[in-house]
Amino acid sequence: MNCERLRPLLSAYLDGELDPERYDLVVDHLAACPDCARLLGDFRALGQDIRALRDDPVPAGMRDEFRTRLRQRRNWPTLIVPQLAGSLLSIVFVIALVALAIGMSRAIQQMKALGHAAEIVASYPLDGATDVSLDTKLTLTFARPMDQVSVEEAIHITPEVQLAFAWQGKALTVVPFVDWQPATTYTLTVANTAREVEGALLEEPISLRFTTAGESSVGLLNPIGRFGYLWRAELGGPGGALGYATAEEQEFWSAVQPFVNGLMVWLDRLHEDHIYVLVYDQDESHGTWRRYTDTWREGDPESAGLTPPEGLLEPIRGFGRLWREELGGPDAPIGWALASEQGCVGAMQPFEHGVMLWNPLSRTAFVLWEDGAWTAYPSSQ
Amino acid sequence: MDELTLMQRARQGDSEAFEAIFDAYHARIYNYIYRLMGDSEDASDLTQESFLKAYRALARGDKPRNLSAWLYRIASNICLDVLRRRRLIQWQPLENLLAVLGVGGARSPEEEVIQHERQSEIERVLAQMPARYRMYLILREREGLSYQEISAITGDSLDTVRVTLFRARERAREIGVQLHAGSKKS
Repeated sequence: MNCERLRPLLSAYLDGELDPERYDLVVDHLAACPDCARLLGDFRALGQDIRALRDDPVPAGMRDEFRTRLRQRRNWPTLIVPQLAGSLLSIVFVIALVALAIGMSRAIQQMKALGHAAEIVASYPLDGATDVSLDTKLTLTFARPMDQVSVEEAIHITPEVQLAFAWQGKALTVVPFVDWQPATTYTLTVANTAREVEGALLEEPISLRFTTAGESSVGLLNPIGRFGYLWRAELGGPGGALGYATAEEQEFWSAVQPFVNGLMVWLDRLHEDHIYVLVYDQDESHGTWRRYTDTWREGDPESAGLTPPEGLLEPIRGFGRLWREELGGPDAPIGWALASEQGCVGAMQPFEHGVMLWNPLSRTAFVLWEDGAWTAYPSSQ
Repeated sequence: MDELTLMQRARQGDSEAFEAIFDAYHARIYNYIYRLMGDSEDASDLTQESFLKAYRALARGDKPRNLSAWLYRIASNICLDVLRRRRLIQWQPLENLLAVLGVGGARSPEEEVIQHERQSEIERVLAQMPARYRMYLILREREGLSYQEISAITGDSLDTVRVTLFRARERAREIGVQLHAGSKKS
């Protein structure tokens, strides 16, 4: 056997993870090939060095901090039946730019050096807008190109929700993982650590305060049909972790594609324009999910012409673009596709603390929890 | 109290039972995350996030077959997610590292100094690696896990585990060679 074919086995040989037949092959080859023996020696030395790394002492306050956080969360599954009925009527929408005088001196020093500070020149919705729907995407437009990581890290929102970010030039779109809650006041703050590519910082932190509309949806609902059955039978109904439905179940044109380690679900562009990526966690019954905007349009290249391992497929079109550009392509945790995408009529219903999705192809309902976890409930019918 | 009982109690909302799980595993998970992220503040935050996520998952009815592998898996996913979001797949530009690497081991005869430099060199090699490769090397070499266990944590097949570990070692070797070449030049 030549070196090129044998080398990939050296690592498993070192780990004692080769079957006897290939083990013997490697032993014979090593006796005759000083180059491969040297490579094995390097691999072994690398392992020794990694094992010799010193442990980092666990910070003294971590345990107490964790206990406090755990106790705050202890009642999480039962705390969520809200008293929203009253507040639903309050449709207050205020987006205000509020200056906070924290950390000004750093920004001023930067300003002196560069002659300008970073600034936000536009935001959507506009300051003071009312009755913005629950699926609104926030947009912040900066004056000059920004260091994207610094901006994303500088953004905080209360009440806390998980946010996803998408950049287009100097404009940043901010969307929550799950739709905004009705009749809720949010404050989005961009700290003055957000900086331009050139280095200029925001002169002062910017806050956008807004209260979502309560009556754009029909308020809180008891779900009916298959979602309702699941909600009552498996999820604890009104007192359960998912809370009430915030809108009726809706059917969508949908596409589903299975992957080695998860699946992607696309929902009709006219209504949703989103791709949900569900990654398995140990088995196919639960995992983590994230929602992305589908940026592929008819006429864009369908695929990148990659060569998948035997028996697997390269995802194409919208799934393919997302897979290559956002998820890591062949190195993506979700892996290569197992089969082609398939069209179907799916259904979705938003809840206070997540979303239910129906995949008719596998006859499975998915609960996508607001914290980024999902659970699958295959239909027994 | 054994792990199964602790998990059962934690599922019923017994936070003290979950604190016992935290006590048993937090140092291992902390150091695993520390090696993945390279920063103790991150390690502290993400360790707590990992355990809070595990607690919520138990409360929702998850029944992990292997508690240790399950905790590693949650921690791995959280870290990879954060690294992806920060686009910090490589921590520092190579040029910066080469500049810092100007000290040669031969300058000091003190064993402690050599050991320290060896440690910082391997840390730099790890820091230069794609996060997924780094995770694999740490799981195998530092945590001493079998391919079967790594497969349970990453969700990858045994074949993928084997190939990925080989590629990770090759990449580490290449980076080591580059760093050495750079330090000799300076």
